[in-house]
Amino acid sequence: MPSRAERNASSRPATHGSARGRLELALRVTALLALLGAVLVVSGAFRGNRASMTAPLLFRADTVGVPVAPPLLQLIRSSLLDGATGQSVGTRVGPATGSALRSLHVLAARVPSDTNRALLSAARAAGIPVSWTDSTKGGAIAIEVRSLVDPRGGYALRVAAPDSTAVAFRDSLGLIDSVITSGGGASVVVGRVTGSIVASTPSAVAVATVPVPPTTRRILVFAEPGWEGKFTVAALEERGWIVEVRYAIGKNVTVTQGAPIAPDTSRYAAVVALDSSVLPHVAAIRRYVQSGGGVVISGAATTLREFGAMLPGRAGDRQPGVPGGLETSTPLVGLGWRPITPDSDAAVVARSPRVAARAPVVAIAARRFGAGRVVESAYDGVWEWRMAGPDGSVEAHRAWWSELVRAAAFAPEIANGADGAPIGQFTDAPGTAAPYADTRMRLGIPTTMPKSEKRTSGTTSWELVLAIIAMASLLSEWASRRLRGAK
Amino acid sequence: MTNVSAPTAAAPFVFATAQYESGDWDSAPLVPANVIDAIARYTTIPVAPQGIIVPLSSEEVFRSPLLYLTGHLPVRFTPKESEVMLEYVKRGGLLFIDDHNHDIDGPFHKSIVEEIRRIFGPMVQLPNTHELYRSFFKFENGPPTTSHELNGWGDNLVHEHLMAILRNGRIGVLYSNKDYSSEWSYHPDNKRFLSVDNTKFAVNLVVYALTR
Repeated sequence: MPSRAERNASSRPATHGSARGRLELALRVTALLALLGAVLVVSGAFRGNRASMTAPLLFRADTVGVPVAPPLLQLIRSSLLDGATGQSVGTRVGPATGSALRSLHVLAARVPSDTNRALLSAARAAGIPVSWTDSTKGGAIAIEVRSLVDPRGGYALRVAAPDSTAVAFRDSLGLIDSVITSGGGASVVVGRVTGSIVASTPSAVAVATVPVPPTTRRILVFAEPGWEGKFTVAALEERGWIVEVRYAIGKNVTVTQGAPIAPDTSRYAAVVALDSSVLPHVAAIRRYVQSGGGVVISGAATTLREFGAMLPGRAGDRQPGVPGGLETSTPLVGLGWRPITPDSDAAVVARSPRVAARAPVVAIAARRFGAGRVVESAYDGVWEWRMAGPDGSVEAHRAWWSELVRAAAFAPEIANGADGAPIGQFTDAPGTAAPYADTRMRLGIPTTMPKSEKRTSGTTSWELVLAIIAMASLLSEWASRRLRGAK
Repeated sequence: MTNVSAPTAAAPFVFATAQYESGDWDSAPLVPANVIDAIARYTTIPVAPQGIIVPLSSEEVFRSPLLYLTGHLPVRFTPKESEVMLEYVKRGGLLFIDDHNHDIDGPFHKSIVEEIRRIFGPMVQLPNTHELYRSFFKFENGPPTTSHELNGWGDNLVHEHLMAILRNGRIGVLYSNKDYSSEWSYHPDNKRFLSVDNTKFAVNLVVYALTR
């Protein structure tokens, strides 16, 4: 009896010519073709044609604040100058290898750095369509740094960003402060800074040049001899202002401090009017403000009709302070005041804390008048806050007056590189203070993922399909042979 | 109806005398009226016709940024009085202390100097060129001499300077050995008998306090 192997050997010639044999041969050929196709797809043999048709190069902007972007630069350079091959870019690149760059799409998980924005802008200007998808989730940020008109110096850092965004401020020496935005932004006041100011969020970085500190001029105070004038002058002097004042003490007798002259922007940063002693000087003050000066009109002076259209609002009847209010945590409620009804074009600076919970009434208002600014304060006898307020009232009173004057004060701005800092200090690229807005300006309105990118993703599927076909063919061929007893 | 605003009515100046627990704070009861008279006579500063008495241990002192304190007898301020005085000067108040004895060996002088040093630290000599001496009337030689210095009473000395505690360039405590309390302690009607009004320096003191 022949063995099983002998039986198989004797039956093999018969199967070669059978349908089953032809099927197995076809499966082998199919597997080989599928494998060859997969190899060709993986090797990119067809990529040039596809890229030249529709697929854009993808650049994923996932690095924030990186000063240079060599991969992108290299790619764009090779595309623009050499006109040939693209290279791997960023963390993910579309199928651009081996062809000229036809279009470029940026997947922006973070706002592109200034260098990347410049490169993308250059590519766009060179005729390469550039689009982008905004996935920054709160990358819209802008920063402004303004010098305070204050003898102690300092800067106001203002940042615009979506609400509840954590923003960190740094200078070249390290972290300065951090804030959580609300109402569309936040601001902090800082003292000395070194170098540029950097505001960073998890998805964006904005950089602003520190302006040249302004030259602070003197303050001219108009007041009758009394505690309000005395302590207002004291607060401003303690802050570092040079204050000039003229008191009418008797008939044809005046007591002067400094050498007060008519208000002029060349000498005074601001004028403070506390009562009717200012009446003979209202016309001069009006000219001063129109030419750029600032004036603070406070207390009884807010009732003077001579100020006319200068006043940001109409002062009402005087209301006494809340008894005992000076000793509370909101000592302003203990001061007498004249509630202000602001004009339609005036800005409300502060409301009285005593009625804030019910019907807020304006306590401080401001407006532009000519080239200058006018600040109106409703509070009367503010000196009592300093003398009879809670602990820390001296400092609070000083800061309060300083802020009022600062809000109105005139200080000519010196452009960087003009009279102040050397031109070399101006190092910021355009748009660094508002990188998100700059990105939109350069790249246009963000779009969704391009369809070509979705097709590009199909490349991987073809490789997979071909590999599956090859495997299935080989398995089928193997199973067929095993079922008929062949090895 | 006129378009010109009426002058705003400033709060009148109120002369305040400090009342303390030890000694005799009310030893010169006519001084306030005389000073008030001088202010009204020489200046246009609105002034209350009557002075007030303010307990030194009360928060009321903070409503009177100029405070007059005098006496003959030894002084020992209570802890509360000391605390209030220190805070008062820190906030910008001016405390004018006058030795009613005009005697550097007198009990008031010895004790008050000790108390001032304890509360505020050492006093400095106020230069006779200080703006206090030209804030209204001009006193070229510094503080005006009192008749009590010249007639041999007390220590029989003419004190050339006043002493002071300065805060932020301003006088916080002004101390006098010259006995202005006796010099100004008469009824204002009697000023007509004086060839030179000896309360003029009080005007300087009030004007300085109101403007500096």
